[in-house]
Amino acid sequence: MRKLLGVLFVVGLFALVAVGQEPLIMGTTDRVTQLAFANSYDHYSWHVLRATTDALMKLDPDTLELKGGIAESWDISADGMEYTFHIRPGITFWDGEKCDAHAVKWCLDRNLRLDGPEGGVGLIKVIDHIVVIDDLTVKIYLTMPDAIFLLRMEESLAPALIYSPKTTPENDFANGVYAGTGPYKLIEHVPDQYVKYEAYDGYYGEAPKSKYVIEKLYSDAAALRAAIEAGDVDFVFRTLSPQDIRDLDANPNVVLKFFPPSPGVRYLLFNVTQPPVDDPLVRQAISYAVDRAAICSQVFEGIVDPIYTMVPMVDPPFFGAIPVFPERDLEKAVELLAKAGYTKDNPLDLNLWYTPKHYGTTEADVATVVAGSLEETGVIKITIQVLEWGAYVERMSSGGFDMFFLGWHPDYLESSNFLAPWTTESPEGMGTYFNNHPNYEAYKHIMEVATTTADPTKRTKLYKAIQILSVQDVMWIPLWAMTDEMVMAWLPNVHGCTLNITMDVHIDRIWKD
Amino acid sequence: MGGISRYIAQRLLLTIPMLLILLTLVFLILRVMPGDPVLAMLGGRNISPELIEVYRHKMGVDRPIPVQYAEYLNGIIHGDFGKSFRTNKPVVWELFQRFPATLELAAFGLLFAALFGFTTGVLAATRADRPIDHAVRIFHVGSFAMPLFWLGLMLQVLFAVKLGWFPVASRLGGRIAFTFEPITGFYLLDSLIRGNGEVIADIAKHLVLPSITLGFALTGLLGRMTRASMLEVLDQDYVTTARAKGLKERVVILAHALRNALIPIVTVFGLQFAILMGGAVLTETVFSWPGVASFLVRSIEARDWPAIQGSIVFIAIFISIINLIVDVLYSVIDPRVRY
Repeated sequence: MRKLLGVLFVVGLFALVAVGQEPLIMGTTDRVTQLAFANSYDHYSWHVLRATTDALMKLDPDTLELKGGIAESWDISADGMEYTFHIRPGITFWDGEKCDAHAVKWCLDRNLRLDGPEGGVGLIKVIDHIVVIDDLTVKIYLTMPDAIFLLRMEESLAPALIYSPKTTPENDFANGVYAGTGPYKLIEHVPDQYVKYEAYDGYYGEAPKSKYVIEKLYSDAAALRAAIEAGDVDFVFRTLSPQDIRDLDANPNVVLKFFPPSPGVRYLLFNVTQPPVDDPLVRQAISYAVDRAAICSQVFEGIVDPIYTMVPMVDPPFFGAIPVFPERDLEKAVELLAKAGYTKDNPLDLNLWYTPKHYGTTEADVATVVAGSLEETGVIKITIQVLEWGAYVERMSSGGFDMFFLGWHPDYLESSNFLAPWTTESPEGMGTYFNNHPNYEAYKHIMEVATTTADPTKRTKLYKAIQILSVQDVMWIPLWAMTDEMVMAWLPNVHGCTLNITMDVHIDRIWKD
Repeated sequence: MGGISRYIAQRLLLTIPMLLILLTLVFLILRVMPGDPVLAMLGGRNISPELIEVYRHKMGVDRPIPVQYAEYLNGIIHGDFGKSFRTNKPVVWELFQRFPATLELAAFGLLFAALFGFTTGVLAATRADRPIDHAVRIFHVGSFAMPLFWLGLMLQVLFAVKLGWFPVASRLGGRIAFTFEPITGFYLLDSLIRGNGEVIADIAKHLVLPSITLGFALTGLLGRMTRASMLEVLDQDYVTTARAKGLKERVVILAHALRNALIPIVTVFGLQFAILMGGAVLTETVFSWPGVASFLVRSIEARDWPAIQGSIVFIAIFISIINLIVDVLYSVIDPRVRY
């Protein structure tokens, strides 16, 4: 009897171990482009890099407070030009190498030097040079004061992540060749199939809840939805269609939750040099005529939220969000159009450009609804035009659009990243050609002052000023926040699924029974 | 050089101008199509025009088209299809990573089509103009008229979501992926070599729905051809003779009639491989199957010129080889054929 109990105990123990080692399976439609710190720039590739290594700074996933990652503390010089980071002692990469000040300098220098055209190294280019003070102290000198430098050193940005000098070649992008600090080790990425991780036992932070994780890559939303319904995966993240979200929400065997707000913004843009939208009155009229409520209800079944600001209304870490754009007012729109010389007898003919797949399957419906809402003025006549993404961006960048849709996910979590790209940073690349607008210099000056102002209160005022100005100049019209992306669905035996404004799923905090 | 060797050499030589024409067409179509590959990759982002120019130069798309063409042909002659703009890896590497998945799917799709096509075709022919013949013919027409993507989705809903018999998509389950180590890339073969029953079952289950979907269109076509060919053969004197000799009907059908009926079918069978590869584009997409066809679809979306060119040429070479093999097999099935 004692022998039998002993055997049963051993069998039970093995069963328990087996359950504990059952991999957690995530489903997604995302794809890795490159796992290269200096040459990748997309949500999912960065997610894989973040899951496997850390940066000097971190955002607390619950409070969104900026805190130390690899650095346990830091000092900022009075002029804001020097940042001294004190490295947490005892951190090792999974190849056994020590993570110290030398490794930090090596990684950041390497990223700055390689600066791949497909990467986001530009986001940390404010770094002038780096000096190792001692094994656990590194000093970073900037080219100019940067109020958001600590955010730039945060793990959301792949070029700020730290990895082992022992494993990664010095002068090659080295797609997927690296050793990080954890929480996970990258075991394998098989293109278009899956990404496998195993918890790194030497991780300096809290140990991951699941020892093994696999992220299975599905071709489209329909397959992703079917996978969670069939129980092939434990949870899914990015990207379900609005109809699938509604259906899964009603499915008692699946838990579905929204995690608003979203950092993603969808908006209408104008090339301010292109007739007839070169007339600010026309653009203002459109901002009054567009029907956000119809987009949200008719296309997205109420799962996205209308927005009246380019900067998401989140606090912290954003500041400076202000809902400046007007509510719908058709009479006002008609009045402005009349001032611009357009009436029912002399209608305004406009193109509305969209791209059919890049932003999901709903874009044609959005274009139809927006066109309908503008035509309700009785003065505007819309011709809907469609171009596949490659041709779309080519035409957009060469100034060939008058009115068109785009979407934005932030590079870093600060208001300037929601305001500068279309106005002062890449107005031609983003199709607005705002560099030819009479107020361009004013925007540029405000933005330069804002990004070098350390005082958040003053900075907030400057960001708000840009948004107030934009209501008159109307180079953009914010339409809706992409709340449909801030959704996860999981099986009832899965725990810890949550999302925050970084839009990154923390797989290390998820487990299943 | 023997007849068969000379024939194979001739066919291989003929493949060269065919490939050259194909290469040129694909190259030119991509350059004429709207959409810049650099902007497709970097556009919509906060990137300066100067950086876009730098990258255009790096990717070689700023050079004159004749220069690009010459470089492209030179590369192919040396087995270099270039690097994928999207993944930054050699196209050849990408294709060989995915080819086993496509070949495995195509083989099982073909197996399904052959089994059901031949069986139903013989069944219809031996019961010509009876209710079962009518039913089979309706099934044949329906099967190749049915859109593959719709069939795939319906199979997923019924057999994966509702009944839970098979997985929805992909090549292997999440848990198996942690333990399974491929050898050749042909997962079923690899799992048999490894001899792990659980892995074999998992991989086989993942193959069922995509194979049925891919094979379904061919089932109808092969079935109709088998029926027509069988009806013709069943009227021949040697079949009457076989029956008069007192042979069992099963022997008459399988040993005498079917073998001769297969001759025209095998010829078409090779040609059908091209249709099968077309079907693979849809099947691989619906079932998240990581093969060459789904790679091609993603490459087209991204204007990844080297990957598109490489994939099409790769598929063309593959189909040419299959056709050559089928032609050679022709002599095995029909002893009258000599090369």
